[in-house]
Amino acid sequence: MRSIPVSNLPRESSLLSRLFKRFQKIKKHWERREPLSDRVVLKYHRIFVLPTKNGLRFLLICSVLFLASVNYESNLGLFFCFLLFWVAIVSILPTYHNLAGLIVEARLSEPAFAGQDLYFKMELKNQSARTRETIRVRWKEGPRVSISLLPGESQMIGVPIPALHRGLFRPGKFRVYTQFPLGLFYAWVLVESPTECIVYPKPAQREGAFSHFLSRFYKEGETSQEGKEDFGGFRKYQPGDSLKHIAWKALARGDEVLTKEFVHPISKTLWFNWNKVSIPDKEERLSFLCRAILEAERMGHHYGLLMPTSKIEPHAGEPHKHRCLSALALFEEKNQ
Amino acid sequence: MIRYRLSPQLLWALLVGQLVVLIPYFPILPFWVYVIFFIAAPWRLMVAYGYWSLPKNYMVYGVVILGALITFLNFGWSRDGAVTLLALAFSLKLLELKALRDSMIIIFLGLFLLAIYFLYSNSIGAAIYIFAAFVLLTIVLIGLNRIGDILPIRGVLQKALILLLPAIPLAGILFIFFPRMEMTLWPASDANRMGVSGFSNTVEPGDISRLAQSNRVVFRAKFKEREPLQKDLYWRGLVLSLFDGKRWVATDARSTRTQLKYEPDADRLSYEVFLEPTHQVWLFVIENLFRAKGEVVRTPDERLEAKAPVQKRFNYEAISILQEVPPFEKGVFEANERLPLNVNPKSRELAKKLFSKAKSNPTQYISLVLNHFRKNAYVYTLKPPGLSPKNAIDGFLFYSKKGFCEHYATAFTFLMRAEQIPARVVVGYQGGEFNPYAGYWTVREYHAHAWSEVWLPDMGWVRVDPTEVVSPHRIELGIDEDIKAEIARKTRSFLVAWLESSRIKPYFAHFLWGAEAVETFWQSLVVDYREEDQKLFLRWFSFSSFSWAPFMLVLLVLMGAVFIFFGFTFFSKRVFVPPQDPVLKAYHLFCRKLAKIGIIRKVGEGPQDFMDRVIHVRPDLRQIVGEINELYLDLRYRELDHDKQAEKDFYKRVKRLSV
Repeated sequence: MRSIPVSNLPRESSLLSRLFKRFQKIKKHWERREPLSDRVVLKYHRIFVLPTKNGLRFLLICSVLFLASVNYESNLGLFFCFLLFWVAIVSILPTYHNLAGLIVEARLSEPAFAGQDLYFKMELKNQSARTRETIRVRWKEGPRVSISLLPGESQMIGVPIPALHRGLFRPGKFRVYTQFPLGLFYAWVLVESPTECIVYPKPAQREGAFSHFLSRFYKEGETSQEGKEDFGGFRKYQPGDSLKHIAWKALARGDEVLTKEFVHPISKTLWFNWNKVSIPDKEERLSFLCRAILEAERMGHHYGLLMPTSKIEPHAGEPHKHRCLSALALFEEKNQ
Repeated sequence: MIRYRLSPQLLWALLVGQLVVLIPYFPILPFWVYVIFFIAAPWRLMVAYGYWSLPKNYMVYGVVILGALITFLNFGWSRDGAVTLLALAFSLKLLELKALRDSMIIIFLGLFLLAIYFLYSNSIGAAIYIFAAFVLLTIVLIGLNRIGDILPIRGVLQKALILLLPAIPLAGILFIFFPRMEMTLWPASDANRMGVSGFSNTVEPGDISRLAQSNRVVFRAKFKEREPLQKDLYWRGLVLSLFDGKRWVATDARSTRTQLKYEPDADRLSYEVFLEPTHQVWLFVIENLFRAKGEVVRTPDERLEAKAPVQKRFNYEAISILQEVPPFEKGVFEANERLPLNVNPKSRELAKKLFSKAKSNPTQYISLVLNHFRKNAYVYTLKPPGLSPKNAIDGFLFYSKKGFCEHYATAFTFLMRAEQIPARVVVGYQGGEFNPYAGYWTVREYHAHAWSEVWLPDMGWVRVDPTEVVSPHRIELGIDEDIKAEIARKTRSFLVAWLESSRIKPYFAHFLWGAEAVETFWQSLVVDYREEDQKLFLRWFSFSSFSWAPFMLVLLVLMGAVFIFFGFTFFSKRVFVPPQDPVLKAYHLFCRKLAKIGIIRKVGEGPQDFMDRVIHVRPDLRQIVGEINELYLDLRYRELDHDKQAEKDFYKRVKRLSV
């Protein structure tokens, strides 16, 4: 997994870090034309303001009112009309300022399976002294995420993106926009992020072609239900252990976090071999292997992956699963 | 796509806004609009709370079409019809409220309806109410555009004011510069709801008393030079010359113009009249009109008419001479002698009798007739009994003996004509109410009056007001207090009725006058701001003729100013500096120290967990770190108020820590 330092501490400034900062600054300067960075501060030269559809409706109302006031010679109606007009114009400023100065930073997203939604994680930071209300983010025409930020507040959001194909996916441009306060104008920025996300292949259905393969996962005599497991003692919890196996009662008593170990009398070590899967279509084969890995992990077996380009020794646990699935995702991927 | 969900609190706010818009329209909109609103609103509330679901779209559209049909049948293509339709859409939109866009459309319709109300009333009270409602709708609009289910009123109000306060002067400037031209884009001949009463060009017994039921202001008059007396204020409006046995009708005066000659030192009254819309052409001037100024035309029967029907407030100036008998030269018409035959036989008999008693002397005859009224227990009342139309005058003179001014005037005129003395009925207003604060006279409907004019040789048309003899009080002092109270009661203005009839009246009279003065000032400054005012103002800027050019220029300048201001706000750098919590600062120092030896506190890791980790790696630090941690938890979470000393101690401890 790629790691980004997520310390919330003020850093010590040493010579090295100062040089680094200087370098960053220069890099930023050159990248100003292409706002391609993980951290974007929304500034004026990138913010556009246009009337919304409601703004146009408002304009229509205002015009009709104007005509009526002129026709019936109502001075007060005319004044009201001008008042509406100016309120709308004046509202451009708060709408603009709602967005200007917002900091948008990309974060690591959880990988998704093809066909699902990928939730692209971003952090929005409000470093101004005013509340930013109803800031919205969306990717192309997808669903939008709306948040409000108090002064100084940051929030992490996940923007849903339909992940269509497996592989390395770079969502690219996001639209960050707001219509607050009156909904008559909207200010927007296109934020480009170089962050890439991994999309695993879509796992094959458990029924169908995979079902006859399932039997391999079970011990002799078992059916497709979870096999009985023999309790084999406690060990200290390691990240990646299944939450199902945590000794909750012990924890509630005040002990440390322990994992129950189960001994499969016959715990399998499975090898998934690319060449041995008899499915002609490459993508289907990948789906098949994906499902295989998921099932193996679920059953608690150790599994290894043998691909033409890589070999992963048998193991189990979340990090291992990710490694294997990533290998599948990135296999002969066109964008590499 | 996320489904739009309108929270109950926001919906309540929206409904309050809608109610505020609909309340002032109560006398104008048909009742079923309100019925629909009070069905749609609870329904939508039930939907918001999750109990009901919205009705199908076609049902709502069906109601709309039905409503539109009914409206069209009742109102036709008119302003009132359009407003009713809008109010209908405004109410029914609730049941079609599925997205943010719909709720915003409701707000827009509400704003439109608020503004249109100014076509019905432009009093200062209305203006204040509409403006307050506008602020309310803006608040709701902002609330709808927020995330969250509640409406934090104070914060949103602040935002609303930030938008509104700059907009007011900007709107004011555009208002001043907007060219006021007589532009009528579509026929605006709607009978203004405010001006539906008033004279028509026929009068029969009972008409004036019916008219006098209202206390609506007909016109105001400002006198220059000197103020008149009540008895001088005979405002001539219409002259009715034709009697068809039932009613008296005004005719086009066909005669040569009369010439007026006045004594050089004749008493004159110079005044300006501000007439409320009547949708008619006739104007009201004091007797013996000498000169008139404005969009007016004089008629041969010494009246004044406007060049076009008075659709909006209309001003004119006039000078009238108060002279007992103006020397007219001409002006007799046959019509003024004519009476239909076989009508009112008994009155004719009376006339014959009195005329012979007067030895055929017209002046004497007039005195005798007036005497007859004085001596025979005639009563002047606002509620005379109804009379059968056939021999109405007989009925009045001999049986009921109770009448209002028109009874006396028509009877008198009849008696004159019965003996071939040309006479005619004049209707208008008599008297007025003086407002000492504003310095003008107010004439209301209940000042309506009818009197008579008789043509005497060598004298011309002379005014004779029989009411003077029957109720001299009314002419000298103005219409009876009792009658006024009765009128107020009839018009359901209980407050005014109480004020008129109670003893507090003198004190409240001043309050009412003051309020009226403010109202008139408001009217003249804002509502009546017209071409003349604009011309005066623009002359300062040396625009000789105003048209669109100065206006567009001003508009562009203002927009430019707004955007320049906008530009300046780019450069305001207000970065949020979180307040330095000393406890937090110290704790951060603690974390930094530990980071140096490789124990980095993770994002979101709690102090307890962090401490555990530290102890795990460096068991030797157990005691010190434990103490620091406890202190930190105390200061940060457990004790709400701690003194500076405790904070300082904590900091010292952290400082002393060596890893």
